[in-house]
Order: sequence, then structure tokens, then C-alpha cells
Amino acid sequence: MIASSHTLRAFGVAGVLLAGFVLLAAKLCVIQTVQHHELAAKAEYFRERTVKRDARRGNIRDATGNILAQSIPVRTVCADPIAMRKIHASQLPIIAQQLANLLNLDYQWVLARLDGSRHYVVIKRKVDEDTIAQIKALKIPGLSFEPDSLRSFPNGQFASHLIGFVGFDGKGVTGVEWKRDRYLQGQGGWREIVKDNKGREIFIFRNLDVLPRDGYDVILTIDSVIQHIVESALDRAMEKHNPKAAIAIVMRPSTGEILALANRPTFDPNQYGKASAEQLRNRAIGLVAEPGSTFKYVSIAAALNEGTIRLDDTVHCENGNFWYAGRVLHDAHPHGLLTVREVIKVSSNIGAAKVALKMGEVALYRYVRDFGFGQRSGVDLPGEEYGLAHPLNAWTKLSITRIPMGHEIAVTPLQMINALCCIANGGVLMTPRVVSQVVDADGKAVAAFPAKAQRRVLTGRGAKAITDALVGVTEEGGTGKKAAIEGYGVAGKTGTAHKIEGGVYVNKYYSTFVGFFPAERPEVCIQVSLDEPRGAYYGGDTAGPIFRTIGEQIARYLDIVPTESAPKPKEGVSVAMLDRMPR
Amino acid sequence: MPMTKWLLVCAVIVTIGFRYISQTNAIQKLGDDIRQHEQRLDALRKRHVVLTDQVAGLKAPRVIDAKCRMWNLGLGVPRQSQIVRVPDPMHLPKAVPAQVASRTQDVRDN
Repeated sequence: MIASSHTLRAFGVAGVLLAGFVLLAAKLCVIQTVQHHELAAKAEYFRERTVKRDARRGNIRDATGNILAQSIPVRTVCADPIAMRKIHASQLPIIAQQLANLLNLDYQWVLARLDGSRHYVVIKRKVDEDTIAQIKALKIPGLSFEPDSLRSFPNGQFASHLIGFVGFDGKGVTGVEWKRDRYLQGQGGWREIVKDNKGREIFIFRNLDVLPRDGYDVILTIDSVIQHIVESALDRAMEKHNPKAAIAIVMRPSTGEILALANRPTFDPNQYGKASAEQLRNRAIGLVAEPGSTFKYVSIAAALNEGTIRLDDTVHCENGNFWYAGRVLHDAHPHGLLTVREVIKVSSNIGAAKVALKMGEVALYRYVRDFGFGQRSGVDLPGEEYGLAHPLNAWTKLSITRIPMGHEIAVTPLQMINALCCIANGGVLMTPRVVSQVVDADGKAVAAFPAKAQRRVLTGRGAKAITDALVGVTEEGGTGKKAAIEGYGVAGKTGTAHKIEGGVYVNKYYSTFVGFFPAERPEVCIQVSLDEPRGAYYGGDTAGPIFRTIGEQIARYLDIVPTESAPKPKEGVSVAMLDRMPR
Repeated sequence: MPMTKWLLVCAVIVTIGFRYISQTNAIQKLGDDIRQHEQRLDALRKRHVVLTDQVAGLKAPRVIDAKCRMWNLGLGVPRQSQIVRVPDPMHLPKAVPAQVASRTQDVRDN
């Protein structure tokens, strides 16, 4: 009886154990078969990670290698308010105060962010590494620091219209940043890693490591020193003449390289959000205005090239009143007989009109188009305007007398200087450019943007003839004598254009001087334009002296050998001593 | 003899085990070292970029110009009239060597 009872108990225990093992086996089977994929994915999710490796955006450098824009590593400070409250709810005000102090934020705002009911809030973006190190030292749980990058323009507003800036997403918005974004953006990489239970990477299980390819560096044609000379001159011009805007461009005629380009008002690309639309506007390629008398060199160059006139031919300037097609055309000062050379020198409207009449509409229009007016110059910058050059069938009877003096036509400053560069370049029109090449981290060229000739507009003889005439403008008795540079022959043209508001000419002016030097073998071409200067408004009186200041400094910086005799220094005075002499 | 054989087998297994563990630890340590060096390299690269940015700011012509004026250094490009240009003998006209030759002759005669 006792034996039977023990046997029963033994069977009972064995049965329970067996049932337990069966259940366990069944559960194992479910885990290994039914739930296999789900659980394997979950385990993989917690153990394996694909870490994104961001590429650094390339730098923008000037022609001499100085950095004008680069990306620096920063972080975004994020918080998990729910986790923070769980750990130390009572200390939230203290943490908020510490973060507010370090991040220059409002205490109440930070406290409100940390007191939220979300798992993820951004406290501040674009925080530098030094500040991050200070925050990390506080050992605040629930904070995280996400990597980010900040586009830095170490020279502030220097050449800002040309360089442009990048948006919140790290992509170029304007200027070279936008135009060459394809090269500046790098190629991101990634790394597949396995983590241990503490979240640390197990190095031996690193499966894949694809290195990011940083963005290429873009090398500009801009020279920082020349750009600085130009910007300083424009700042002084803004103080002296108080214009609505000022523009200056420096180009190398033989290659079409833009050595400097500056606008006023301007902006700091580090804080582009604070800039107004007026400050952001790149007037050098976006301001379309009647050029006024500067345009005379186009019509006279065309006539000289066609052989319609010669420099010493005479034109009667009707003593300042020329009736044509029922309207009278005036000169600023009455003139009688003038040679073509003198027409340019004293900037006679009537003289220019009569030369154009002799040449004819068809030829004038052809040269206007050939010089690049009414079309984009092809400069590698976004936002370039076409200008306005009416087709021949839209010309009125008066157009032939008005276009040669820069009316009924609208141009951008870049079109104007590029047309003069064409004359300085012996009659060949070049495409203006601001980027010379793109290089990788080792300095090897990835892409090059060489000088590109568009077309021959003038013969060498035609270009020489108009250059001779333009030299007279800066000589005694010329409208641009204030633009003359000691030691160099300067060929240039003044312009003072009435502005149009509401379809009528008003007493506001757009003053310009555009010229190149040395006239014999041109090295640089400079345009200075002032929009609505106060007080003096003639191009020769306002823009001319600025041209001279810029030209003198560039000549010394580029060591352009003088073509005319300069006053000799005293005997026995060395160059080293002269360097220290007061100026 | 069988005892010795078993002991030998055990010793081999234990040795392999120890070797495996020590190798794994060494790999783990190497991995940690590599990771630390990667982090250090990354930090140094970031620091380099920040310092380059500062140098670029300090090298800006505007900044140099302002400092020259602030410290009254009197530095600047000379005027055209302050420059003495010495002609390069390689590019002198052909007549010049003759003059030089005649001067040399004069010196010899004296």
C-alpha cells in the first residue's frame, strides 16, 4: 500500500516535470520558429547600428589661398525633459539656469523647454565645441549633443555678395556658395557597428567603414588685397557722397577674371537673417539702369571699327541744340566743331548722336548686341540680369540719337565693364568669371574654369583707335581728369545718367566712371558707380576720384610698371627709407 | 599511461582556452585603443578647423590694416614716386653691353 503511494507520488512529480519541460520546449519552439524573425530583428536593432558620417563642406578661397568661407564643427544641444524630471525634478531650475548662462539664453525659456512632456527638445543649435565641453563637465543626465556644422565667413561682410551664404540645411543659397554647391557639397560616408550591452562599440565586429569624401575647395579669381582696397574705397565714398548704393568691379581684361566685386550697402553672411533685401542685392549684376554717357564709347568704337569715321574727323555739335525728329537734343556745354576724339573727351551728346546717324541703325544695333548688351554676360554667379536692349524693330526715329548717349538702353555694371574690357583686350569679348578652379584636399585640380573668349567685336586697329580717344577723357580738359593716375595712361569714360521714376526722368543721378590702365598694355579695368550721390553728382567728380584711389593702390600692389615718367625721388634715398616716409 | 594522456589533453585544451581568451582580450584592447585614437583624431581635426578659422580672421586685410593704423606702424605700399626701379641686366638693350665694355676698357687703361 505504501509502495503504491510512493509510486503514485513519483509519477505525479515526474508528470509535472515532464509537463514543465514540454511547455518549455513548446515555448522554445515558438521563439525559435514563430517569433524568430521578430526577435532577431529586435536583437539586431539593439546591437547593430549604421552610423552616418557627414562630409565637411569645402572651403572657398581667394586667388592667393586665403580662406573666405569654411565649415566648422558645432553641436546641437538637445534634452529629454521626461528623463530629466524622473532623475531630479527638484533640480530643474538649477539646470535651466546653468544652461541659460552657458548658452546665452533666457532662463524662463530654457526652464519651459525642460519642463515639457516630450522626449526630445532642441535647446540650442550651432553651439561651439568649447561651450559643449563646459556643458559636458556639468554631467547633466538627459542631455545629448548632436553633431552639426556651421558655415563661417571669417572676414565678415568681405566680398559677401560674391561668396553668398548657405541656408539652414547647409546648401548654398546665393553667390558662389549656390553656383558651385555641387563641388562644395561632399559625399557622406557610413559605418556599420555592433554595440555591447553598455552601448559601446565592439570594434572587432565593425563590418563596414565607408569614409566620407569632403567637399572640394573652390578657388576664386578674387584677390583679397584688391577686394580690400575696393571695399575701403567704397566705404569712404559712402561717407563722402552718401549715395543710395555704390558698386565697384575690378577685372583683368585679358582673361575676364573678376579681381574684386563690391556693393554697398552690404551684409554679413554670418548673420544673413538680419540683412534687408537692399543689403542682399548684388547690384553689380542685378542693377539695370541707363548707363548715360559711358555708353558713348560703344557707339563711337563701333563707328571707328566700321570705318565710318576717323578720330580726327570733325563733327559740328550745333552749339548745344540739335533738332532731330521734332525733338531737341542738348549738350551740357555748347560746342561747335569737334573732332571725334574731342566728342569723347568732352562727352558731347550731339557729337555721339551724329556719329551714330552716320553709321546707321543696323550697324549700331549689331555692335550693341556684340558688346554683350541685352544678354547675360555668362558670369558664374546667380541672379544676373539681362539688361534692356530693344530689338531694332522697336526703335523709334529718335532711338538712333538717344542710344549712343546711353538712353533707351539699360545695362548692368558688369555688362558695362565687360564691354570696356573687350576694348582693352584688343577687341575680343571675354566671359567674366569669379571661379578659377576647384581643388581637392591635396590641392589637385578637380575642375578648371579657364579664360573663355566669346567673340571678336572690334579689330585690333578699331580697339586701338577708341583707346586713344578714351585716354583723352582723363587728360586736361577731359570730363574724367580726376580719374587720372600718376605714371599711367588711363583710358576711361565718365557717365552721369538721370534716373527714371514712374516713367519720367527725375533729378536723381547714376554716376559712373569706367576705365582701364595702363592704356598702352591694359592690366586692370575698373568700374565705379554711385547710385544717387548727394551733393556733387557728375561721374567725373564723384566716381572718378574713387577710380583713381583704387587704381593707384592696385598699381602698387600688382607692381604695374608705369608707362609715363613719374617724379624721381631725391638722390641717396633708398627704397627701404622711402617705405617709412610719411604719406 | 591513460592518466597522463588525459592530463595532456586537458592541458592542451586549457592552453587553447587561455590563448583564446588572451587573444580576445588583446583584440578588445586594440579595438578600444583604435576607437580612442579615432576620437582624439576627430577632436584634433575639429580643433584644427576652428583654429584655421581664427587664423583666417586674423589674416584678413581689413584686420591687418586696422592693426597697422592702431599701432601706428607706418606700413603701406609706397607711392609711385617713391619706387626706384633698377633695370634687369638680362633685359637691357643691346647697346648697354657695349657701354659696359667701354667702361671696362677705361678702367683697364687707367
